[in-house]
This record gives sequence, C-alpha cells and structure tokens, in this order.
Amino acid sequence: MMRTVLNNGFPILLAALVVLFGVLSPSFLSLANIMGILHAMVPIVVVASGMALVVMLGKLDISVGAIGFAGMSMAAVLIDGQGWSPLAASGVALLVGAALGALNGFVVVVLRVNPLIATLGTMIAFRGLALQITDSRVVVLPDAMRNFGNWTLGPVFFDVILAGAVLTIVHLIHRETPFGRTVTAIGNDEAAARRIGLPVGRTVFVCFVASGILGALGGILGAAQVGAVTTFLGKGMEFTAVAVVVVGGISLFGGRGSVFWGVLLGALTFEIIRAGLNHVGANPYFYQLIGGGIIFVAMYAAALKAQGSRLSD
Amino acid sequence: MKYTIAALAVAAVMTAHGAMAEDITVGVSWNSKTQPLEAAWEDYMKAEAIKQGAAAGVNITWVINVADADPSRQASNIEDLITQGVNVIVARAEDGGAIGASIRAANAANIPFVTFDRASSTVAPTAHVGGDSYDQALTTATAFADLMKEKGIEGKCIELQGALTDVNAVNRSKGWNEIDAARPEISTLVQVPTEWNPELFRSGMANALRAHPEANCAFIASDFAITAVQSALEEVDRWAPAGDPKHFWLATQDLLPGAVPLMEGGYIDVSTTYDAYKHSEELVRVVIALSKGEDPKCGPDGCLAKGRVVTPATIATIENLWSKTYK
Amino acid sequence: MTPLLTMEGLRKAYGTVQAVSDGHLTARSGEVMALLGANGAGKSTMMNLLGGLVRPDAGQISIAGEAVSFAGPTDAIRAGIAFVQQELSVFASMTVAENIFAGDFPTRGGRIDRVAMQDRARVLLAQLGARIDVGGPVERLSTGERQMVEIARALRRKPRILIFDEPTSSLSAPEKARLHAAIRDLKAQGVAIIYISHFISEVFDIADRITVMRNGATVAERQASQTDQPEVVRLMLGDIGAAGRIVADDVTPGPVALQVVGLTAPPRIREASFELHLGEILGVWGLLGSGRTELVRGVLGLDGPVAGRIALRGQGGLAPASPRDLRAATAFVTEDRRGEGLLLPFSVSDNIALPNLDTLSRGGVVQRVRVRDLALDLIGKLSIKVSGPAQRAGTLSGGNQQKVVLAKWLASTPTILILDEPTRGLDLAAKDDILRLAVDLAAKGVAVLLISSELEELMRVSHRYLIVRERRVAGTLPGTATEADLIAALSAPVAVPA
Repeated sequence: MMRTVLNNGFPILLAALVVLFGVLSPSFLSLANIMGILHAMVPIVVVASGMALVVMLGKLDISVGAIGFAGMSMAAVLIDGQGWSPLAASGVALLVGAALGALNGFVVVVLRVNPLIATLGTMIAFRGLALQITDSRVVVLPDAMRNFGNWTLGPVFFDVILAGAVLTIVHLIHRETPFGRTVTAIGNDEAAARRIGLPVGRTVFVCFVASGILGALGGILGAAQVGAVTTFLGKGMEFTAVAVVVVGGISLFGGRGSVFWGVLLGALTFEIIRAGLNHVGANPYFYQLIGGGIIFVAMYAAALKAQGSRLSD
Repeated sequence: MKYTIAALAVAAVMTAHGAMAEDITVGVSWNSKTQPLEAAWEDYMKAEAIKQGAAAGVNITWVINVADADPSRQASNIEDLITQGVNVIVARAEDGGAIGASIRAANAANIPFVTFDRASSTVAPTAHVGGDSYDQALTTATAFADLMKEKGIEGKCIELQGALTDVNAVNRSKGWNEIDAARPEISTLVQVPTEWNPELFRSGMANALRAHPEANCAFIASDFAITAVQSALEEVDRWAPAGDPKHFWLATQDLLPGAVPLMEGGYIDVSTTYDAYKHSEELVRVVIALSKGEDPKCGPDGCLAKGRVVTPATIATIENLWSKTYK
Repeated sequence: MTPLLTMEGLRKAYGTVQAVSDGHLTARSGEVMALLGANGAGKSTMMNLLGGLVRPDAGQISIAGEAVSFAGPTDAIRAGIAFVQQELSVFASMTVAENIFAGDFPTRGGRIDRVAMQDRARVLLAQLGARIDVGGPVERLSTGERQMVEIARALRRKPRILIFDEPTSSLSAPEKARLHAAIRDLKAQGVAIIYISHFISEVFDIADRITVMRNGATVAERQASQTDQPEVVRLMLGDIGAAGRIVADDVTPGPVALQVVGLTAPPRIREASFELHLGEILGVWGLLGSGRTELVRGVLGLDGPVAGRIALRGQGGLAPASPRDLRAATAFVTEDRRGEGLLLPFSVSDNIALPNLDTLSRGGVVQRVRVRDLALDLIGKLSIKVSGPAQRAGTLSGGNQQKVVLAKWLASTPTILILDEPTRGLDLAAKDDILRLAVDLAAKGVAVLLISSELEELMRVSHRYLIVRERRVAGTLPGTATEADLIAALSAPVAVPA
C-alpha cells in the first residue's frame, strides 16, 4: 500500500492539480487549453529528452540552454543576414549543437573533467559565443518560421507531434538498444561497466553529442514559436530540464527511471502549474514559490522511495 | 594636492582662452558598442552637445572608448580617462557592481562621474542618467485609457509583466496599475509574469486568452519580444490591425525596432519610447551643469529622462526616434 | 599433458613495491587449481595480469602452448579467460538477462532481442543450478544470486579459463554448496578453473591442485590429495624468525575489562565469546578472512546490529553495555590512517586536538596554548619525529602518521585499546616503536586487543592469544604457545579451551 502511494504519488498529485485548476477555472480543461499546454511543453520536452540520457549516465549537462541559444543564433544570422532558408539554417543549428555537444563530450571523456564543472564552464562560454554571433540583438525571424512553430494539424500543433516523436525515439533507444542499455549500466556503476569491458567513453561521448543536438533542436523549436531570437533564449532551460527529469523520477545518480514517462510527467507538471496559475490569475509573486515547492516535493518523494526500496531488501 | 594643482592649471589655461566659450572634455566609456541603440545614443549626444553647448557657452570635446563587454577593460579605459584629466566622465557600466571601483577612482581625482542607463549597485556616482520607467508606464496607460474612451470601448486587459526582480519591470507594472485604478475605461483581468522570457510571453498570453476570451487589450511590459505576443494572438485569430473587428488593442513599452513596423501597420496602438534621444539630451544637460560646478537637480533615482508617447498617428512624424532610423 | 595455461617468471612492481617478483603457475583443462597465499602474497596481481587488467614487467603467459600478450581486459576475454571478481560487477536496476548479456546483447534489427536473450540467460543459469527470474531486476536478488548472475555472464563467453576470486566470502552455506556443484560441473565440461580463497578447508573440498604464493613469489605446488591443511598454512606463512619477545610471559592480568558472550551477526561472526583483561595484550590470531576484523568491528557495533551480550568494567565492576558504550571507552586504531580520521592537510597538533576539543576549549573557544601543550607532550611521549606541532600530517612518514593517530586517542586516556593491523606498511623501526608503545600502555593497565596477520609480530607482544577460525572464536592459547602450536590451532581443534 505504502509502496503504491510512493510509486504513484506524483501522478496522483498531478491529477489532483488538474482537477483543482479545472474547478477554479473551467476553461482550463478545454481541448484548446490542453493542446496549448502540450504546445508550450515542446522546447523543454526536446531538451529534457537529451538531458534524460545524460542523467541516466549519472552525469549532468547544464550547457543545453546555451547550446540551443548558440545554435539558433547561428541560424538567425544566416536567415537574417545571408538570406538562408529557415530549413537549411536549422540544419546548421543542429550541426552547431552536435559540435558543441562533442566538445562537452571531449572535455568529460578525454580530459576527465567532472561533467557538472565542465558544462558549467561551457555553458558560460557557449552563451558568450552566441552573444558574439548576434551582437546581443533581437533577431526577428521570418513569418514562415513563426508560422511553422504554430502550425496545427486539426487541433494538434505540428511541433507537438515532432517533440512526441523525438521523445519516443530517445525512449526506445534507451530501452531497446544495446547502446541504451549500456547507458543504464554506466549509470548503475561506471567502474563495473569498465571492468567488464563496456565501451564507457564512447557511450558517454555519444550521449553528450545527442544532448547537444537536442539542445539545439529545443532552441530552434522555441524560437520558432515566438518568432524571434533574443538573449533570453534558452536561459534557465538547463535547470528546468534537470528539474523536469528529476520530477519525472529519473534518478540524478543515474541508471533509474523511464525516459518517456519521466520527461512527459516532469514537463507536464511544470507546464500544468504555470498554465493553471495563468488561468486562475494567481499573484505573480507566487509562481516561483510554487515551482520551487514542486521540485522539493518531488525530490522528497524520490528520497522516500529510495528509502522504501532499501528497507524492503 | 597634486590634483588640486592640476585643476588650478587647467582652470588657468581655460581662462586664458577667453570668455567666448568654455572648452571642456567629456570622457565616455561604453561597455560595448555593437548595437544600433549605442550608436544612436552617441550621435544624439554629439548633436545635443553642439545645440546645448552653444546656448550654455560650453564647447564640448568627446573622448570615447569601448570596453567590448569586458568589465576589467572598462576599468582600465576609465583609468585612462582619469589620467587624461577629462572634466567629466560618463560610463555605461558593463557590470553595475564593478563600476564602483572606477567611481571611487574618479572621486579621488575630483572628476565628476555620471553613470548612464545602467546604475551602479555599489558606489554612488555624482549623477545617474537613465530612462524613467515609472513615467513610461503612466504615460502609456493614460494615453491608452484616453484611446479607449475615445473609441467608446471598455478595455479588458491582460498585463504581461517582466521579471519581478527587475526594477524597471516593477515600475512599469506599478504605473500601469495606478492608471488602471484611476480610470474606468480600462481594467486588468489577469497579471502574467514572464521573467522576460519570450516563451513565457507567448504561452502566458495564450493561457490568459483562453482563460479570458472576453479580453480585448493587453499591456506589454516591453515589446522586445512582441512577435511572441503576435504568435499567441494569431493562435486565437485576434492578430489584426486597428479598424478590423478582430483587432486586439495593444499598449506596449519601449517601442524597440521590432515593434516599429507593427505600430506603423496599426497592430500596436500606444507605446512610450525607450528614448535614446531623450536620454542623450538629459545626459548633455547634466554634463554641462556638472562642468560648471552646478547641481544637475536630479531626483532620488537620478536624472531620469521621460519617454514620449507614440501612436500610429504620430509615428510617421515624430523626430529623433532611434528605433525607426537605426537598424 | 601440456597445461592449458602457463605463467612463468612473472614480475610486476607498482612504484617501488614489488607485488610479484617470481610468479609462476599452471592450470589444466578439467581441473580446479586453488591459488593460496597470505594477504599481499601477490595472488591478486597474478590474476590481474592474467585478466589483462595490468601488464607484466617481465615473464611469459602461454595459453595452449602459445605465448600471449594482453593490452586490456578485452584481449583476455577474447583469449577465453573469464574473471569473476570479488567485487561484483552487476547493475542493480537492470534485469538479470540484461546483466548477463551486457556488452554483447543479441539484437534483431537494431533492437535487443529480449526473447532470445532471456532464453539463453535461462539456459546459462540452469547450468549453474540457479533458479532466478531472468526478467526481474538484479537489485531484488541476494548476494549469492547476484554472484550466480556474474558467473553466468562469465560462462556466456564460453571461457576456457575461469578465475574465481574469493567467490564464497559473502555466500550462505547452501549458496556455497550450489556454487561448488556448479564449479564441479564446469570442471567436467573441461574448463580450467583457478580458485582463490582464504578458507583453507573449503579449498580442500574443491581443489585438485594447490599453488601457494608468499611475498610475491610462487613457493610451492602440491596435489591436494598429497598435502594437508597444516602444511599449506606453513607454506603460506613461511618460517617465522625467532625474534625476542618484548613482554614477560608471566604477567598476572588485571580484572576483566571487557566480556563478550555469544556475539553473533551472520555471516560475519558466529557465537563469539571472549574476555579481555586490564593490563594484558590479547593477540587475535587467525588467517585473513577468518573474521578477525569483523569480530572487533562487530563488538564495536560498526557494521550494524549484532546479537549477544557485552559487559564493560565500570565503577562497580562489570556491567552490561551497548556497543555504543564500548566505543566511548575504546581507542580504535587501524591500518587505514586516513579512514580513521587523520586529516593530512592539517597540522599534527590540530589532528591531535580535534577529537578532544571539548576538554581543550573554554566557553566554546579553543585554547590554542592548551592544544600546543598537549601536542608537545604526546609528541615527546610517543617520540614522533616532527619539526614541531605545526607540521602538516601529510608530510610525515607512515610510522609517524600512525603515531599521530595513536596520540589522538591517547589524549583521552582510554581503558581499552584495539589495534587492527596497526603496523601494516610501516618500516621495521616504526613497527618496533608502535609495538613498544602498546606494551607500555598495557603495563600502565590499559587492556589491549591486537590484530595482526604477521605471526612474528603477534608473538613478540601477546600475553595471550585468541584463535579465530571460520568466523568463530575457536579458543585461546597462553603467551607461552609456540609457533607450531599457533599454526596447528588454525586447522585443528584447539587443545586448550578458553
């Protein structure tokens, strides 16, 4: 009984929140609003998918927001200054994301720098690089790109389908492939993985590259939704992504949790709360307090769960 | 002691030059100069120096350096201005904390120090010149209420706030809500914080629109990410220029370059400028006053330049609007 | 018949320490070869050389008559060598089947073929006689079952040579029996097995041949049927120098300071009872893995709860006490100087002062003068070689560091002193100093319990011996016991009861 509540506590809390907001503001449960919530989740779901892989390793990549900003800045100046098509420029943004992710991977795997320290450093450097690329300007994107960001198929936003596909693919790679299982093995015990000859360095490197590419994709999708690249792009995204993954039940120590359900539940939690507060017209000073409270509750629930499983051994 | 002698020497030289016009040198330390706004400020300063200088009998020579977004380079640049013995130093700080050391150094050399646009968070300068964000919101809200009254519309507005840790965002919200309370033509349905994050401008606006389908207007704390608001309005098919029945009434702050064509197109109804021209005008006034040893008569938050209200009717004719001319 | 594996003339040094100086051994298909040796004899290094984890400085490894050279563990795996290490390499959150196939998953179209993988995992585990749900996570398994998973992983590679390093140290009796049955099965299938264990009786159960190493060199090779436990123990320990005892044989011990009755915490300790008197040095004698360290850690309650009774001498004689009470009255010094709280970046005086801050401060403020006086006093008493109390602990030699650890405890004048391998890694002079210190303390009435794997060292200072064998207290011997008595006590029932 206790186990059931602990394991499912968060979904239950989430359902209770939905009901609460629905009662306080009937428009909250409208189809349009549900679609709107999914739409708003798109950038963070994509970024958190990459983060989930890295966290499964027991590592962190806090440069993802900066990578999204740098990749999209490069795309923006190509579109704005060189007249590139948004599609081709987005391809370049993904390449930038892969390259910066590879740099992270190099620093972590080859130079053996602690991932938190390494990506804290590269976060600052990549953000500086992006500011250099755009001269800290606001670059307004062409209408075509903004239209793509808000394009719908029936009631569903197209980018929601895209983000869902990305999340599912990452989930399947993690669950069903030798690479994904190696990620989980490293997250369980990196030293043991080395002892039995698993390709630890290569796997970690690939995860950082994937995290970089998905960081850039998150940047592209976020910028497309708002139709502009500003210096705020991707700011705080890394911490939100970590929070999403943790709230979704993926252990920061690595090796535990489900990519699909973790990212989905985590991202839903934050977006439902934000949208709900918007709907009920909450005091603006309340937002961060509640966001922080949710992270605390999720961490506490995870700690209780870990204790519970140890006691039952 | 040394500085006193130097100052006396300079004074003596100046007297010798005659009573026609007093020559002063003003050192300007830009934190960086990559954006149109900074170019606009500098051009307006030079033009104002000639205009106001002639009236005050002062001949201003500018010594300008740029720190390329590096606080330590800015400190050494300001050190250079001090050794050159300029009469007044003007600095737009890269780092509001680190600038304090430079202010202290200038004080020691008896050179008046003016912080421009960005205030010092540590040591108080001789004067601070910046924009008046509180007045900005008051004038926009007043003009907007007047517009609603003229059109005979009851304005039910969504307020998109900036980051609540930013004094400008707080001032703007305060100004808007004071007018909202005083004027029956406008009322605020919901306040949405955005942390200045464009994605939250979009999703917050979209959420507010779904929660309040009756809304017909919005106050936007800055229009730097106006396209995010545009996305949200397009989603509910309310993005249309004035005159169209679907038009959603927009009052914004700053009228930055991205917002200019949208006001020209009739999408934005009222804005109060973040006014580079007014800032420069005020700066030159303060510099001249300081060079003469007079009190520039600043308010408690510094010498704050008020922005100008702009509407689609006036945007074509308003003079010295940097966001229209500098791209 | 040529042996499947031959290791000849192997040498390996780590820095200045010669871990293996002359290692040789052979292993044959269908045979269990047990590799024995005291701690530090070089067994692990030999196996690491064979497993490709380290590279030899000199020597030759041949498999089926062909010389091989391994650049890494993968090369050794490819040559048919599988290594079941003492430290388990399992991934707790993953399924049993995934653990067995980690590194070589069967796939179909890029996806792991779970059906095939689980079928093959079941077959492998069945070979070992283990009935484990292959789809469940490893974290739900017992240690013994986890070891079966690890062995199944080794078998999956169809090894020709299979190394077991201390496979039974954490197994229950039925699990141990099942493991041995599986090993016999593998033997019958023609696998060459190398078996490392500290449990000598167990070795005689399973091994066909025994190789003994001592101080980095292979010293003997015997058919199991042609030797016995005492001979093997003697080969492991070598001849013990007749260095003089530095304590008198006929000390009259004081009253009992600590009485332990029926201490039990399976599988670490079973039914241990003993008494420790004031003013005596009680030498704990047993092989590594016999439960020496576990015994004292158990009494002190350092590894979790234990059953049994403990009585401590207080004002009014012996009174029941908890492990916590015992810890308060005891100074506990081990070979692990850093683990026991020697802070290397701190000065000698700060290290000595830290556990004694209560008595060294007044009104919450540490009295620097008193700290310095205490440090100077102890530096003098223990003849610690330092430039002064302010010297950093990290810059001292090992022996002087150990003396600082002792000084830390002596400042609070304990009634019981427990020394667990206090001289390991120290040079002869430093060893001598530490032992003399223990003798002095005993003379002043402190009850000293000394654990050492060096018999010579024990024989120099013990007033009495406590014999520990296979996780039990097997009895005691008087200080007059000879080397032969002590060696015999490791394998035979102890003649003199406690």
